[in-house]
Amino acid sequence: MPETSNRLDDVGIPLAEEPVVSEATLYGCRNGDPADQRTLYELVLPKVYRLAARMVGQQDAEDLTQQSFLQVFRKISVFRGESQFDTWLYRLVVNECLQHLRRRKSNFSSLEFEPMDHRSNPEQGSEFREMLDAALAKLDPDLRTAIVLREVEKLPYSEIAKVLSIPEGTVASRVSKARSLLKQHLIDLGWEP
Amino acid sequence: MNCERVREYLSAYYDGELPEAIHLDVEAHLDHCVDCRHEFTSLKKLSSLFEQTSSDLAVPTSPSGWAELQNKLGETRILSDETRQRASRRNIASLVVLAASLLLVVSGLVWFTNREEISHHASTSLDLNQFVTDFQSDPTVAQARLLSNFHGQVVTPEEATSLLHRRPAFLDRVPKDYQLVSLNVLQMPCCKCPQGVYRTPSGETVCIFEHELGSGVLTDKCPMIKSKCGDRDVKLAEVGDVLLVNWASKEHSFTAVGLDKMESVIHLVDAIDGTSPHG
Repeated sequence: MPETSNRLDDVGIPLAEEPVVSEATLYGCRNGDPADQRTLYELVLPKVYRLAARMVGQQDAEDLTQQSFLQVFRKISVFRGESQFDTWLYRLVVNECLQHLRRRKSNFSSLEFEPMDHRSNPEQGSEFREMLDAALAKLDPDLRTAIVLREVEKLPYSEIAKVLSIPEGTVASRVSKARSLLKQHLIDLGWEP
Repeated sequence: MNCERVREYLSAYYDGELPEAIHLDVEAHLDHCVDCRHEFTSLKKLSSLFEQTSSDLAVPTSPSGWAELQNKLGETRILSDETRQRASRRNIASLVVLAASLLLVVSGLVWFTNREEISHHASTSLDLNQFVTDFQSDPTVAQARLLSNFHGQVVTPEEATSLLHRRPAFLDRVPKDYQLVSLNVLQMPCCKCPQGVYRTPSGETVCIFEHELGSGVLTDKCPMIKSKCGDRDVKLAEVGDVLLVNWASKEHSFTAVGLDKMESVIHLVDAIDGTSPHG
């Protein structure tokens, strides 16, 4: 069996384990029902925060999460179910993040990171995170979006294509290019592949 | 398949996204190519790095997150069950009497009243009475229905100015201690109207609608009291636990709902008319 077999099996698993937002909850949210809004908020909060954190960095993730939910509840009346709710949600959060990145491009891209000395510092958890954030910040937003949807959200290419409204072939090339550049940025920061 | 070609496919291979025939070709190449296998391993390590740091992405446990979001959505008042039950028991006729009593008691100004049933206004189908009732029990639901019924848009002041070709007058005239919760533009049958939702310092949520002059009152079915404040004509009603007031300046007609004290109504009307260049 190829080493990718586990990856093939993995493709659907994280999505299947995600809590499902029921039609009833969506209906209530469309009608402004606060109980349903709260249900939706609690169900998808981890997903929204996780995506925002990897897209814009943890320092702005909470603000982006709140901003995304504002947009969700303001725009949910126009969500008619033509696409999966998750697809619609991802698209909305990604758009909020991209707008944020455009506004604060200079600040985030100037994030500095000292190359790590892995021999003298075995406690690397936090440093790895900072290093990954710094390397992600160096990626073009389109590439960053593709790699985050793939590596963090574990979306298959077909789903990423729907979220970003691009062909699957473009997804494949963006993910591939993002991985290549990300590895190089990480190596520059002291990571050993 | 040579190394160059395999490297092109390697990322999609790793993700299990290749057609079977190409997948098998890449797999066969990896069996005998150390360099490409090393490259493949680096993809796995990259994924491991994401997974290693994923625990850092746990949502911060901020109990105020939902409350803050609610505030931003404009839901600022949650009535007790008792208040809801009381509001549902009341009927409009008895409330008109209460409104008259309230006026006489609390107004320090020269108010006089005569009872008038506002005629049905054919140009708008908004059941304001229902809106106000909904608004008291759940502002978010009421607002959502309003926006849905009248093609409402949530806008910034700049966007409102662009849509209306003028800046909504109330934006610069409400009392300074009012906090704007949301600004909307509604496409109503009478005109394109801005609507502001404000939070007052005492925690009331008040909606202000601004119409073109001559567009008439907003109400359809709401029995109202015609009153005067100084030389200013206003029309008042009490719906549930809150007051509704209609009045016209020289430029615009206004409707405000959500205040529960006459002093607050007078304060708002004075602010909006008092700072008017034509007021």
